[in-house]
Amino acid sequence: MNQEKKNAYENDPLFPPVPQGYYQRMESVLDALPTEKKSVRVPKKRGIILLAAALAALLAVGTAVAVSISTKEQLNEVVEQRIEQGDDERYQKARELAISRIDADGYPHVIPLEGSADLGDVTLKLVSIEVYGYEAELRYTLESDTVGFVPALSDPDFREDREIQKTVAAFDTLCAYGEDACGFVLNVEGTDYTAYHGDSVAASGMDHDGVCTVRFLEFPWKLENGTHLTFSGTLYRCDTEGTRLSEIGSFSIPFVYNYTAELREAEIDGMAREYMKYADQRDAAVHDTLSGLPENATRIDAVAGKTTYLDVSADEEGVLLGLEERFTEIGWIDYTYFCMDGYDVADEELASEIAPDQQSATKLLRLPYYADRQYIGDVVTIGCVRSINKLIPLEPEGWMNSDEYEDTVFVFRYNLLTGEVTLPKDDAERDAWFTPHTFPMDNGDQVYSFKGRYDVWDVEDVSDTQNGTTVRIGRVAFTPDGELCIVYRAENLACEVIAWETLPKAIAIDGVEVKAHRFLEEDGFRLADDRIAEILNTYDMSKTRWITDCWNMKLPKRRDMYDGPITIEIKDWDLYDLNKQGEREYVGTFSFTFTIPVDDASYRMMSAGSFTNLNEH
Amino acid sequence: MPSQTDKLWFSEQVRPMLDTLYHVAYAVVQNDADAQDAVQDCIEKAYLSLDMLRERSRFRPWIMRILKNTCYRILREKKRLIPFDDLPESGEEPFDSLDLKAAFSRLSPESRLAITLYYYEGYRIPEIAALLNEPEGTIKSRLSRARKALRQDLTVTEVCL
Repeated sequence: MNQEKKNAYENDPLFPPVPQGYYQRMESVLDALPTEKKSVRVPKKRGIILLAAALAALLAVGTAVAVSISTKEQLNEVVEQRIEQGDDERYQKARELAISRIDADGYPHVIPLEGSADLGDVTLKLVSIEVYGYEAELRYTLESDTVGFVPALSDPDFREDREIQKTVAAFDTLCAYGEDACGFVLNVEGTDYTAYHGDSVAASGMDHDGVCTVRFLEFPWKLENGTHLTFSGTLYRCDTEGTRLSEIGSFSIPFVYNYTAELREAEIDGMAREYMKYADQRDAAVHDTLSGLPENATRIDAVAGKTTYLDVSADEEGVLLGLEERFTEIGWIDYTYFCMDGYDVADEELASEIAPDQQSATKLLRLPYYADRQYIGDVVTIGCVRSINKLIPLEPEGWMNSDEYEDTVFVFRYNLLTGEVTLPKDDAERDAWFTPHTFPMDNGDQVYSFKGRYDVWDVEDVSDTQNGTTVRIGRVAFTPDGELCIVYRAENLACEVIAWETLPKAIAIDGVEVKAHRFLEEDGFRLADDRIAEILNTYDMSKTRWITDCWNMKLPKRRDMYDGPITIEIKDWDLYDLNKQGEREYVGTFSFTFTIPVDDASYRMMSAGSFTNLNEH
Repeated sequence: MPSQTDKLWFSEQVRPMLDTLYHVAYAVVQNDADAQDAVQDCIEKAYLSLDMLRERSRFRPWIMRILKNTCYRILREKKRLIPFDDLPESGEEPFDSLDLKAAFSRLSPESRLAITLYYYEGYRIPEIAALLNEPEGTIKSRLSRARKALRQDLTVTEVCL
């Protein structure tokens, strides 16, 4: 039964319908998500190197200062102190918080109710009412040995629900209580409030424990103790299509709203224990996370606006940055974002503690590597931008934009191997290292976390012609995933996609043989018979068919370890075409040897979108 | 980078959430183009950092956090908020709907998220608490404050009219 839509409004005044193009666009996004044949995660030994790097940081010179307690240790101590705190002390603090919430104006209290009505074979019993600010939800149960209750039957979608079908099959008499609930009335001291009219399931639903709910809108903000209410309505028999047949009966149940001291105490206790549980879970998770992080960090202790950047270290997954953010009283767009080597990286908050004076928070963040660690340099440039939008507070809540923004930028370089931190010597150097709003997102390319750049080289004059078919190597690229990508063009084929079926027998990079694959393909490509039949229908229509495609292969070593020209040998690519009978016909075997000047890429790109097409550039 | 299996799993998680993601994004950024951009960016970021999701059962709150941050970032980068100026001008929508939109846009993004998830996505309070990784009491308070703000705002508008 669809309980998820219980609260949902039928007509959305705040939102336009989700545009149809949106689904299509997101499907394209999902389809285009890249996959890797196998994981290229950093090997375990990397952790040892990084630990050594963290230790080396103790001795680092440059702008790094002497190491005192790290942010990790500082936060860990706070968490451990809290974990070791006595239950009583923690409970008292949780109670204080709970009381402040529960006593706030308009906080919704659940008031248990007693009262029932017999409608022939059906008994309706009140369970509770909750008034939550101009709305109320009343809960009740329906019991009967002879009537089967379903929320709705007039909607074919509901009739197909398995639970509803079971009820329909089990009972001769049915009641669509959700649809009936649209006519229920709650009278408050002489004023009638009718149930929400719209989607019957929004008006009324049934929990898994059999408790039904009915909602009333345009209700008083809150009810005072001693308020008299009456819940009334009519239930109907209906057929399997939801058409009303006859009345089961009407009910009218008076009750009094009474939020007693006992209820308040139970509510405070329940909320306090929930807070404790929440805090305990959070502390345990944070403690667990922190215990797996490097012990030492290089101090930074640099102040930029309202943020103090405390220290930095690194683990297998990213750079760990400790910072203290002083709160601002203005604005809710108080947002810090980070870039690593110009790439947007989504920070992960590993731990955060608010200072006792509530004026600042100390945080430990992980800035994940934008590409696999082994494929990025040993020194990374970190750009931190804290942007505060000054807003004008409104009463009772909300903000108006003042159009005043305050951005503070902090930039440093961090050596992942030695732990050395270097700060720019002046503003000009800082801007040269990193300037907000010029990072690649602004140039029209999508930049994603973990996604690095493509270094691309045009290859000149590397081609061969056999039996009228010319194969030309046009481009080579280093990809963000540590692969080498070779782009070729084959011309004058009858069926160009047959070229996908074969790969070179071997490709050697500086003499080291590697295995090539086609992008995204796990098991190779084989043209299907029905597709061949289609191709034969148009076999002679174009005499100059061609294809560009690429072969990918893992680099034998990290891309930044290549410091001179790379020699690439493509060995024995058997190329086939399709003849008029639909048979594969051997064209020739192609081999090439060429070099690329690795330190001088023809161009750098943020996506593979265009360099794989040899008609461009 | 995720494997083909990861991609299938990821897509299966995201597809049923597309409406929710759109509405949540729209609630924060307040226009269609940015909402779609935010969802796309969120999907791609989440996918490419999938190996950082330690418990896959926590996928929904995790992707919601990424979406929230993405939306805040879009707001920041656009350096704008849309209280009134960009509201539709045509008479196709009833006055009260426009008023509600204006009042809604003046809520804090956190309140807009809570309202959206509760009223427009049909999540229950415990589910919203889990999605946003906050205690239920906090969500209830936020919803309560938001209702009061909306009510007060709309009442003031009526009086002015």
